[in-house]
Amino acid sequence: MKLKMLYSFLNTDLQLIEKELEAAIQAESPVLREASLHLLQSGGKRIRPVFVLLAAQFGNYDIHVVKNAAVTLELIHTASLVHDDVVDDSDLRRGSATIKSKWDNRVAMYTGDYMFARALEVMARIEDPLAHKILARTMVELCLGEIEQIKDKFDFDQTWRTYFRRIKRKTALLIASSCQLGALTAGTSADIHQRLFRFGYYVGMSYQITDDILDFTASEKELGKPAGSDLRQGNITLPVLIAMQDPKLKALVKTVHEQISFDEMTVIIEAIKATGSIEKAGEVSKMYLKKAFAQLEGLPASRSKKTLAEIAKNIGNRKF
Amino acid sequence: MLNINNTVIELKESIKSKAYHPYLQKILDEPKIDEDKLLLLAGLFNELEKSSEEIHTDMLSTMMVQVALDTHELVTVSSKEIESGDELKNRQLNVLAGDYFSGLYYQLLATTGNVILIKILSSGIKEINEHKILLYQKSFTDEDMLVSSLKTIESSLIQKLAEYFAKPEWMELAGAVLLLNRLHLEKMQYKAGGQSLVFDALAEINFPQQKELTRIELNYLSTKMDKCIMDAQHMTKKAAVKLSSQNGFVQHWINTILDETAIKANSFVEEG
Repeated sequence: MKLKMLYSFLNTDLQLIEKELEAAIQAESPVLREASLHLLQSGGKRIRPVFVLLAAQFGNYDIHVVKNAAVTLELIHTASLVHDDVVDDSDLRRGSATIKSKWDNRVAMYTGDYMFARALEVMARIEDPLAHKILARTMVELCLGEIEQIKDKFDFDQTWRTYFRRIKRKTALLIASSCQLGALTAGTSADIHQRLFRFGYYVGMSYQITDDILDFTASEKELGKPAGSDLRQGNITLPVLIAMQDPKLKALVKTVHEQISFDEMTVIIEAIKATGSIEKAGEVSKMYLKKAFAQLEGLPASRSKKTLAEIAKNIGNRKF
Repeated sequence: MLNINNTVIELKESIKSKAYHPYLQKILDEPKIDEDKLLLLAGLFNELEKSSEEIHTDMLSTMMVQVALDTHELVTVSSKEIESGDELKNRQLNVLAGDYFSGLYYQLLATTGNVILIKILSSGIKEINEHKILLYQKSFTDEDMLVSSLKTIESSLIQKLAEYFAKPEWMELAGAVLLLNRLHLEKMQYKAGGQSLVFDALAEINFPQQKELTRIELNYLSTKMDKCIMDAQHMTKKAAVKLSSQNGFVQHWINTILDETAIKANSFVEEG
């Protein structure tokens, strides 16, 4: 089943979120308005708002309260993509020109900062200090993860721990916080919102590992970039770390550099695949999913619980 | 009552320590601290009935926002063709460092549960970026609009705080003196042969879509710039009179700025 079908019962509320997102970026400057809308309307899955809404259904669900967390998280995610495109010098995202390519780096920086500010203005409608502490920690950790990614580029001796900490910061915490903030704004007990945080964290870890696997296994058409792009850019991911346990393979991987030819890269990708590291990384991803499902077990039976499990499965098993 | 000089010194150390990150420090220059804004903040908070801990957190958070915004101004616009590996890494880290400092301001206020200040500062950041884009795109129909945008870019954070704490005299002073500083800086950049966004915006207002300007047209723009500076000086003097006598340190600083930015007759023509 397609991901969007799994949460179609949330459509009315998601449409409201969509309107709120558009209202949140109604800047005075036409360029700023256009730039912000450009990315918001370019087909994101709104998975973070979905997690917020589903988690909120474990408490006193009031869309007019919960929407603030949902809008905040999507704006933060979108703003970070705008800045990521400057970091990665990317011209395309989801098949459309990035803000930095359609305008330039400066416009992208201002747009991203504007969106971050709007996100916190919306978040400030929530008065619970714990909600702010959770989000603030997530934002700081997200930046630290991105900084670490640059620091660790082409570091072939980095540990697995370094990798797991990086993907936790880069990806898992924002999903975990989406779940926790949804529950928190609906006034659930600490046990429930902490459980949902852990659920989101494990799903996020599984999601990123799957993403790292797909960089080797999906086609260029599916990925929108050549296979092995992460490694070519110096990002050492789990399939590579597993493969590098073999010293000969490690020596081969260490020859990778940003200007490596397509043919040389193809040889290295095939060598990595031949070690069975893709399957082993898949097992780690599944292990995280299993941990996510275990967190759900402690939650009361409901349609949201079922949907969270389905989404987790869908994310973990996705092919691209 | 604070000793403003000591507060500024302590805050500078706190900002440096808060913004410290071993890897960023290794690659990037130390974050620049805008001492004029810090001094204005110290002057404003000096008049509030708050504990020294609260003042410290509020000032530190506000200055972290300023550091974040200033760091993002360092992100280069250059294309990849002319970029070396070091330039690329520098640009990448300036993006991330700015985001990191921004996250730290939020974390400081979230830790103390100061949601009101989160609202005030994020509203300021929003406004500043709206006006930065207007300036960058030179989207002004007249000089008043340009000057008003510059004032917002430079002083929105402090003005919003002053408004919240019902200190209109500090709103007025921050708007005037920070505008004066910016105009003076832009004039100096232009005279040194560098790029001035403000001068470019003035050119666009007065000679729209004209690529080459004659000497007479350039002199005309220089006179306009001097006029803006003189107006800002006048506003600064007027605002400074309204400060209480407790703010001798701030008064002294304003006098220094007024001296530094004093316009000599035909200064652009003579020196430019």
